[in-house]
Amino acid sequence: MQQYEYDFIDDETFSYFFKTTFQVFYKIEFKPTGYIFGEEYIWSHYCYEFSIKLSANSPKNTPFDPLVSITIASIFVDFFKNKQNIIIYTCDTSDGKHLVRVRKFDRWFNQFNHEKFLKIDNSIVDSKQNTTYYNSLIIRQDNPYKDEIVEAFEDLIGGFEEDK
Amino acid sequence: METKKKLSKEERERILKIVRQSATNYRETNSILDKILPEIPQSNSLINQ
Repeated sequence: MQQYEYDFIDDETFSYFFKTTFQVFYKIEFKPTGYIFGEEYIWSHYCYEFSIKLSANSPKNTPFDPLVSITIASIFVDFFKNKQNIIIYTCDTSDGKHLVRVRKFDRWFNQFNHEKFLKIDNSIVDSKQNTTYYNSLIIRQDNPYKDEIVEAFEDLIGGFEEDK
Repeated sequence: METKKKLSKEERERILKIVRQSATNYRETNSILDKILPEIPQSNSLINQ
């Protein structure tokens, strides 16, 4: 499948870069977030948030480019070459477009999943902010700590019930 | 019957803080994903709403 070529910098934060035919520069970062589960778990050191950034001088209002999502999917697969890696994804709800956003993300994820990855979705109601946060855990099916990670995620997010 | 492990108030506050920060961190990424991911066909999106 056609995609853009990308560069990779292996640092504390894993960074990938690519440029599109419309001269848009993308940076995909995977930043460690082991503190979410607590450093006592050996696998928490493989826990990351990802971010997609555009360089400041990237042109605005470029046409839809299907190769971008294919390239980012390929970067995801490359990031998961280490089968212990974990991604925690949070869907932004501040603009009220989260349901469409969740469906788009799910559809995209399923296009490159091919049963290789496990995604567990959960949500947290924040009554003080009057909002719901949608969170997903993504790991490889053959992650050696799979059961422990799933249990910890479900305990963490699923156990989140406010006092009645 | 399986029961959910209920978190302490302090633990819930800690998680809320993390999730709020995570949602903020993801705001720019979500906005970019909105633009780069293909649109869902209108008929499907209406059915699923």
